[in-house]
Amino acid sequence: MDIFLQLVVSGLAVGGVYALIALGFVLIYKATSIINFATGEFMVIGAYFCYTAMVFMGAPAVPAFLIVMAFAALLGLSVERLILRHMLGQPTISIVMVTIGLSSILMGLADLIWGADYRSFPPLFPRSPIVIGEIIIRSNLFYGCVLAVVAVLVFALLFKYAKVGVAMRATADDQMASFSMGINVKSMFTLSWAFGAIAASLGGIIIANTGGVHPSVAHVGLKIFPVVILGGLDSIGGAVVGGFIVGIVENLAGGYLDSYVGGGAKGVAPFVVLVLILLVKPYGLFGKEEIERL
Amino acid sequence: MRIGDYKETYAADEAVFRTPTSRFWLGVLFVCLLIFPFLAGDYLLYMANLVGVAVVAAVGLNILTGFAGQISLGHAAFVGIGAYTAAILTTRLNVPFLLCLPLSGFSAAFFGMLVGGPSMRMKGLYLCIATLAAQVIFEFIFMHWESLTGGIRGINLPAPTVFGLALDNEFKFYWATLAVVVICVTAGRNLFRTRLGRAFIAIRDRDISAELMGINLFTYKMYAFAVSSFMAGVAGCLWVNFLKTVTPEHFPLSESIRFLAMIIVGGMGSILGAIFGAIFMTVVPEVLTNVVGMLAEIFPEGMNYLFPLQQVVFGVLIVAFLVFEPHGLAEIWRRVKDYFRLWPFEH
Amino acid sequence: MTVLDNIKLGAHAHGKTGLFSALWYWGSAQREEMELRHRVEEEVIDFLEIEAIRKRSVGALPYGLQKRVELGRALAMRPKVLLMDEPVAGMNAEETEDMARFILDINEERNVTIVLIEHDMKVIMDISERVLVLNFGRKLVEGRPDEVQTHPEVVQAYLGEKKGA
Repeated sequence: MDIFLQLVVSGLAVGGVYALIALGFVLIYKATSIINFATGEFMVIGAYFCYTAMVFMGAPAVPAFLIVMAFAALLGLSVERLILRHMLGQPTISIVMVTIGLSSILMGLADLIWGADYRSFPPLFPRSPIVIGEIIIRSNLFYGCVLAVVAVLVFALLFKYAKVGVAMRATADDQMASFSMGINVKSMFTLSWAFGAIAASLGGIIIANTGGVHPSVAHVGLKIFPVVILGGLDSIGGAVVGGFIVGIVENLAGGYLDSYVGGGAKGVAPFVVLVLILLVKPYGLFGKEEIERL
Repeated sequence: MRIGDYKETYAADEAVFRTPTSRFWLGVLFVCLLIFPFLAGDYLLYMANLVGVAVVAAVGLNILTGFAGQISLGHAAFVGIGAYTAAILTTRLNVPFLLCLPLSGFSAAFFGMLVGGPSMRMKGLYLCIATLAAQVIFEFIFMHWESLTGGIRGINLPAPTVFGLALDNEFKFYWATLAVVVICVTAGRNLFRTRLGRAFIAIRDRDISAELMGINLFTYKMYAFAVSSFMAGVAGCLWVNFLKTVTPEHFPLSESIRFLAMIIVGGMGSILGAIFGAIFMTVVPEVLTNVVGMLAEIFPEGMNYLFPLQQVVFGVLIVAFLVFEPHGLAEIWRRVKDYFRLWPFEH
Repeated sequence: MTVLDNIKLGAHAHGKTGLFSALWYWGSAQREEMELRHRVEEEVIDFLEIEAIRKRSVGALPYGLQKRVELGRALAMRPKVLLMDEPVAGMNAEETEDMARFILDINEERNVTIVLIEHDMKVIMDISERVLVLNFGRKLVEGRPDEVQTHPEVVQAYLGEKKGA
């Protein structure tokens, strides 16, 4: 039972980070109907930015975060402006492939600039592990999750109350109507990419903080798909719930199944759950069912 | 130069190669393909074999994704299933190569239909991600079902034999590859001369309208998945018999993406495009490697940058084609042909 | 898809070619395709006068011709009854006349029953044998065009009453 609780709690902690990254993903999807296969690469680049700011420029953690967020926003909006703006109205396959191409470019560039060596991240949080009853959580995980949850809350409040947030939600709901109400729809697209990139880079920093900076951080980006599909591609609440579910599922699978299947259960379990969910609910748990007419 | 094309029968109008000129060039192409192995060295023949395998797989993927509009991120997994089926049948049951080819295809088609089955309920992006899940799950199975697949060490197999003749070098294997390529390309092209092909395209363009035309969506999507993964399986069988080894690392997600890149660059919804794309995406990285290799003699660290450079070029190719030439190389080819059709009189 | 392919698609349900004969093509599939081509050319393309555009892509055609191709696709199905929802909506005078002529010909030459809904009164009055007038989902009258045209209830519902009458 102890092991079970331990696994669930650390799953929740990881899940918080997934929720944050998935949030960025869903933001982009809701506003522009583009699924971003380059999420993992945004994470890697965010982590590298932060690493550069802290190690090479000696910036303390908070200014480094601000720098990263500014650069991530810049990256997001230039990607939207330069590439994805041309893809409006193209078939799904083209949009999927363009973000895949983008991910390949970003990955190659990151590799060219920073090299493929493993680099350990400068410590961001206090080192002593957190103890709740009999459960011990690594400090990195704990503070990472706290940071992620705070970021999710900030984003959520922004959407609920800020004028920009309301405009973005309106755009997601009905582009034509928001356009005629004087909302600049194109700049909302750009903005959602900026927000998506910021969320992904924050997630990347948190992940890199636990495991070091390396291009392979991008593999976490793939796990975003089970998360967002579980929740339904266009549901922000679903992304958060999905994040926690996937975090718990992969931890439990890693803890209980690895010895039977010879390792790797952690990576595959979320996808098995994903398939099972899609079989029952083809639009995810909270996704909007698309009704088509001729 | 060829001006005007008058046909006297509908059969002539329905032919794939409609003019004497195009039939002439087709003949020239065949002669070249037959002469090529006698002139080329081992390296070129090695490349030719890899291109051949890629062509078969890409034609398969283009039938599913380019024509029927069902996006698959799991094509490499089906190539893998074909490869493992062939390896297991050969090493355990001594099944001859010629029988292995269709059997690998059927095995991949079976799993393809298994994955495609839920496509009745899922659409577009959701299906795309379901195939991504299939890719991850199959990769896991290749890696961890050690008693069957040999795990990370994989399976080694002997050179295949056809009618007592061992295809143990690039030159001999070339003929097997060429034959399979010709059969698969012909079959793929034939498909789109019939009602099945039209049904696929109708499903891609608008599935509800297709249903109104009396097309059973489920049946035809299953056909598309079956044909596509059959060809993937055949490609896998060729591949494993050519390289004589198979490990899980050969069929990662990035390989699936490479197949998708082939049909994007070559031209979606075009058999010719799949061929162009397969050639292009196999040859370009190789050329890049050679160029970097030459530069490395001047800058010794150059080789370190090869892999990231390849990634960047790969990504730029995909994005550039999608933005500037969404119909791919096949469209460029068509324009070039149109230009020469009335050459030297442009109008 | 080209116009020709589009029209052939309409005949999908009449085809029998299966997966394997399609992959092989020569033999039964080819025979079926050739028969289909002959049939489509004679029954549809020639009839609708779209020979010149048979190899053009439908998406690039003007609206009136697109509608004609749609009609062609329906004809390729060899229907017994043809339901048409505003076949001449949005067409100019010439396109409307063509469409009306095709509708009459289909009805007379092929014995196909045609049920159509239309707002263009001229077309209706010219080509219909029987007209049914609806007002807010309620049936008002049914009968020959000239009867319906002068029926007081129809006049009242669609033209209104004279003031003070």
